Amino acid sequence: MKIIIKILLSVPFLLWSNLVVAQEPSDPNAEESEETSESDPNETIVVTGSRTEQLIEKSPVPITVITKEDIEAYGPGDVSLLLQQMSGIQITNSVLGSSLQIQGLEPEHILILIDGQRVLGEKDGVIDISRLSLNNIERIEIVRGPSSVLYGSNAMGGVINIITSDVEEPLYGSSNLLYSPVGEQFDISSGTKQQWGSVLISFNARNQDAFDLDPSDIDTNGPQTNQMNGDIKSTFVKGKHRLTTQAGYLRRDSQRVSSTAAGAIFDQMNRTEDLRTQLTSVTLLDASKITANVQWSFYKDQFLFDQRNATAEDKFQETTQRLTSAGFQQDLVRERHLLTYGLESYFEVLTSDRLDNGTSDRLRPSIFIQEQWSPAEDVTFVVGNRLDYDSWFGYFNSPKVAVNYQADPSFIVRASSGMGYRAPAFKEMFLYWNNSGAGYMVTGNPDLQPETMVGTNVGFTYIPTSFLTVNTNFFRNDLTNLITANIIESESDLMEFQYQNILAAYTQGVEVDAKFDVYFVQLQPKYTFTDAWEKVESDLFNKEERALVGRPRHTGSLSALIRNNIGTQLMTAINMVGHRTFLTDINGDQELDNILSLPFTMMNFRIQQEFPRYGTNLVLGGNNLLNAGDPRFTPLQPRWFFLKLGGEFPIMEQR
Amino acid sequence: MKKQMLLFGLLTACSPSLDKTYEWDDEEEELEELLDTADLDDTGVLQTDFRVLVDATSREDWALIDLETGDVFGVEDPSGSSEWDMSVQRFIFKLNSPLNGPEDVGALIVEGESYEEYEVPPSEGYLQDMEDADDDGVPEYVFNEWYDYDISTHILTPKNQFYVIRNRNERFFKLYIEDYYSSAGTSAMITLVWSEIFTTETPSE
Repeated sequence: MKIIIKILLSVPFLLWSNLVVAQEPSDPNAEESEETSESDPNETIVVTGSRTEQLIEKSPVPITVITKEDIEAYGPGDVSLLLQQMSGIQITNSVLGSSLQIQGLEPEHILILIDGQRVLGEKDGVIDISRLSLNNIERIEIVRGPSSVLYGSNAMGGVINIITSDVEEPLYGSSNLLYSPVGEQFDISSGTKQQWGSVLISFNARNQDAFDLDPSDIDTNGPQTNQMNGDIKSTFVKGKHRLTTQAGYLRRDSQRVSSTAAGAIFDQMNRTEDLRTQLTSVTLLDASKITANVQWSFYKDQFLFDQRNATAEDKFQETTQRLTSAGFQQDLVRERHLLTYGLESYFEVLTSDRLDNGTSDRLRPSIFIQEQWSPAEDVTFVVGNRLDYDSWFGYFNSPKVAVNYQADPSFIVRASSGMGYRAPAFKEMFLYWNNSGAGYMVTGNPDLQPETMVGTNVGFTYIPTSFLTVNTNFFRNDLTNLITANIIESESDLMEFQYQNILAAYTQGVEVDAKFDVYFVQLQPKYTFTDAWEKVESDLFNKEERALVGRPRHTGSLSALIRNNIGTQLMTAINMVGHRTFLTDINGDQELDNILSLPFTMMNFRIQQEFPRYGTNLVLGGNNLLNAGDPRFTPLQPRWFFLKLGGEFPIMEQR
Repeated sequence: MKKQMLLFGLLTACSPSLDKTYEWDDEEEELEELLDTADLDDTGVLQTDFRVLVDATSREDWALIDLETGDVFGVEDPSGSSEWDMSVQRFIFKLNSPLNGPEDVGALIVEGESYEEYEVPPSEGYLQDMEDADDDGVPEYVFNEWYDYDISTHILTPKNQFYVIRNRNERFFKLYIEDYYSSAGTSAMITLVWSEIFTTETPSE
């Protein structure tokens, strides 16, 4: 019965996947057995790099995929903890939350999606990815390089797309319980897959204690958090039509204590709420797929700042953000051509006590087209363009070209070059944030211009043996009108930062990773070299190059996964981050000087034992074993251990 | 889908506002205690130094100071009032001189001398606030450069200097800014210390 349901549900859409992946003409209505219609389980299909299904080997852009198995091995926790261990991208913790850098580009240049829907809640460019839970994630796709050709503004440095799970069983349930001295976590999911479709409901709750890396002051370096989130995903299938509805709600309270050099102490609290809904319709036609979706997202942040023993600096501010979007996309397969085109439109409203003008809105319609042509089995060309209209800044073109060439079965070359842009956020234009307690203020700048970027990636995948894969990618990103907060002359007693366009900046470097997978051992070393500079006017006639702050030149990681045949798994991940440049006044001359943060090494481990007979597993783990971190530049949770008990129904043996 | 949206909309709507549920620390700063340290005798002659905590945190209103009584107060139109000698808003100090009011208050900066041992005010050299002369958008206040700024900690520290002020009634006061921050760390809660001094020609009565 289960197999019949699976076939009924899967055949047309699997056929489409095969059709697109192979880019060969075929009849999607043809009856095929499950064996012939199933994709090779060893083949990884990705969607983010081209907005349609594609074999990762055929992708002309560099993509990293974190699979469900990876998440089980490197979890639990949240998306930031996971990416820190195994993605080869840089995670930075600050009072704004956990943010990421790719190829030396800042978080505001990386678009974060959940099932293709934009995640809201940007604070000073940072979307706190520690609020994104790991339960019910099928995989995470990380696209490096300019992706504005398909996703528009904010995707100029790359895209992270979190793809949620679907139910594959008539009756499904899972639950996990984690205990650690610094917090607890609980999640439960339940769903069903029937002839008409599937439903999956999940709930997650977690809390974490604050931590303090410097006992000499009262400040906490990491917040105390309490979070709950629930999601519902329903899929209805009828013939060649699939309708998916999704809704998710998250609420997170975080508290921290901060102080100023003048002795003021503040209790700070944030209540963040995030509501996402989307409706997606997919229709298969002859050699064609039509996707239409409507999305609505709501984000609310309440910020409370309570001064101890005084009220002068007390603050309470609310920020709400609403994003409504609708899109249409058609994928057409003709012989060796895959043509993707579509329309998309966003309407965003931001209301904030921190905005000078209170409320701002913008409309951003766009049209995109991309042609993927495989003149031969071993080569694929991609050319595309996206035209965006921003109601504040007018029209922007984001063209892109790419090629994937399989020189021989063991050697794949890929190269891509594209343009991207990022329109200034409302806060960058209209912010008025007065933190007189801490002695500074940040103001927006209505005269800002959009950032633009030209990015090029050239790399190869080398597979000398069946158990070794080596990926190398060289990148260069040239940005103009980069927006940064600079110190300006102020009429206030506070240091005033204002968002400004700087002349230009560039990042360049190389990313190397390898995967050694033999018998029961999997090793993954990764290394990234990043050279990141900004060009500023030192005086009227000269330009000066300065290191972009917060970017490590060297990062590396090594993860090892050892499994045996009785369900035991041992994982160790080591993540190394080199010096980073920051600015501070070292010698008291009222000028900012470069200062280098110390390099640090994070080390985590997991020991997992599966009990297949009972459908349960037990995990003992430890994070930050080397106690890396410092209160100023690297506020990391000190060493902590946890115990996790998980269960799943139907249990593996029944399957 | 409608049900899902309704459910989650309800969740959002029910989420309590932090402002309403949070227990604020409403304790105010201890302004009165400092004000009481200044005493006048029966004839109105100063007996002790004034050490006054001035609440200059407002970005709209000016805190006006009467150096003779130690009163700190506000009026709707300071430019028309003769009741004050100097005023302060955040970090800006003004004198009740023609640029800001109807009186003729002047001040001079004393560097390299002991505040405690300074007893006799000079007879001349008093400056008044003037219009902006260097096109930086800020008037040339006598107190313009009373502080040092630490770019790393954003802390304002009073310079090692004090001021002699000739007030609206031609009485003289020596004054220094002790701290820009209160004991709770609030900026613009300024502690001022002053006492009256007398010229040799006009002994105190």
